[in-house]
Amino acid sequence: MSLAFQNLLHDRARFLVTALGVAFAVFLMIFQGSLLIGFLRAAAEIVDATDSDIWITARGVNCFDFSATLEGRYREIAQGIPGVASVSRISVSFASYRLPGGQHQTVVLVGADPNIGPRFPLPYLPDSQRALDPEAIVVDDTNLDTLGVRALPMAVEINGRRAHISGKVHGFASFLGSPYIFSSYDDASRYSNLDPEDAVYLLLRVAKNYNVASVKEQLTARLPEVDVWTQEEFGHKSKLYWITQTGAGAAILTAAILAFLIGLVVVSQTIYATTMEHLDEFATLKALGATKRFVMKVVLVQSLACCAAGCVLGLLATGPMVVFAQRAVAWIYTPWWLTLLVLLPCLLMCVLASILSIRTVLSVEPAKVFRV
Amino acid sequence: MSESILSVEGVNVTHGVGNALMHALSDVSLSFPAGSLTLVMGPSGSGKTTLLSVLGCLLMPDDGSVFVNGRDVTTATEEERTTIRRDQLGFVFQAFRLFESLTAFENVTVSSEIAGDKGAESLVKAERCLDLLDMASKKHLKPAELSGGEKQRVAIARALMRDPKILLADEPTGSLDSKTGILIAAILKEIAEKQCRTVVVVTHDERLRAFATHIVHLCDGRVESN
Repeated sequence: MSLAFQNLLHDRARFLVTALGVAFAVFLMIFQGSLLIGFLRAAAEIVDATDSDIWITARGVNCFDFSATLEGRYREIAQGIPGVASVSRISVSFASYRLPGGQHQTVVLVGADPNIGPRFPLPYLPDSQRALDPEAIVVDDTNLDTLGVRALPMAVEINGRRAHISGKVHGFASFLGSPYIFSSYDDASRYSNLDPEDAVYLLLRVAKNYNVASVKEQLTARLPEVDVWTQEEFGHKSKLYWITQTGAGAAILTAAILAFLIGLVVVSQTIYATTMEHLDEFATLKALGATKRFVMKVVLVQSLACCAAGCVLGLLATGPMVVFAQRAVAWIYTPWWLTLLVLLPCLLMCVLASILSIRTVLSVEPAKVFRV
Repeated sequence: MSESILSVEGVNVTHGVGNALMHALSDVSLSFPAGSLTLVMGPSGSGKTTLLSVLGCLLMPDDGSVFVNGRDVTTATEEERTTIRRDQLGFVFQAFRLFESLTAFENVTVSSEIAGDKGAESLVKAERCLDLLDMASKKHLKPAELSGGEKQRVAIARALMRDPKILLADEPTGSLDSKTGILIAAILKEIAEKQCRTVVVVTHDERLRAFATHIVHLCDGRVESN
């Protein structure tokens, strides 16, 4: 197959254009994939950070961010169900955050009881995993500028009430445009004028000897006015809501498909142009006794070589670009398997791109060699 | 006649349809013995190239038979004709038809690559073929760096690579100056006589008559003299 490679190297400029076309498609597909995966991850980040077994939500709540209040009696009923080891509360509400300079910023205030999961961000007192710092909040480190945080601790106001930022966490950036701030449940209910007995979400842990599904079944029977989900189900529901109901998923997916199509057009065009330029050589190959399989292989190898070179270039560009993009889109996330996964559509793209060229090459008349 | 290395019997080839129908070859029967250099001559449009295409299994006649090493190739499948071209025929073209991106050496080994032969033996053979044509010292050069005569010698080396019994040449001196043309004609004659191959040369070049064993004249698709 030296002919395939040598033909590519013979016209380096065209080879480079093809490889750049593939690289661009690879970059866009990985980038859009990273946005999609990061978006999905962020949509359920807070749900996944808890270590509860069951979530109770108001009827019809589709995602963590848009919720409704549950009356206090549901907590009491849930506590009485056999197999329920503990019930914790989470509240979520939009709040007005006042910056030190006096400007206002709308934030999503998340309050929670302590000990709902080691990863869940709460303003714990130093060296404690149970006691919460009163009137304290923690914020995501990517929102420090938005919230005007210069040094910690820092005094602020939430809905006109005094609070202080005691610490920062990582990995809880919101894609809503309003940063998350985290406080104790009691402080959050006070800041947002929520009845301290009420809750937005009830998080249940199931006792060791009980089955989560059967406890959930009992809860559903006893609490027909609310929704009962396992943690996994509610996380999945949140992701599904953002991806299907908001159009964000479709937009990102469309961009990824467009990237594939752009790459396909660029590679098809350049591979076809290269083939047309060497059509006499393919006729010569056929006249010399090359089988259809052999000439197909030459075109395919050229296409795959462009694909390989483009993939390498695309992957090299993606890493730094994703890191750069994280400054603006903190939740963008590229899992290692995404880069491998993108190689499949890339391979498909190059194989599809060579089909037109292969058809042309197979139909070329070998007797053409006798014409000057 | 079917015992011959290469022959055609009652071959007819037409191009076009209706009013545009043209008889490229009409009832052509010829035989090309081993160890001979046959010149096929005639004016433009006389059917020389069509005859060469038929002999080279590149074009199937409407009627008649074409025998290559005793096998009637008109009854062969396309795959079988491809194999016959690869293993039993060598081609030399007026426009050389070398692969521009490959060196002279790689151009010669392409024939082996097509046959799936990638062994060291084929590399040695390519060296030998180039050496035979006095091109060993220029084996690393690409076609763009070679003169017309040198390109044609590389093309002949490529044609000999699979050791074919039959060599078909289409105007092999057509793109060369007269001195180089004579040199190439001498090489073809040597290949026919010393290596006992059947060489068929389509040409307009009258100077090549001196090298021919047989001369066939075609006119309007018919054999005028043989």
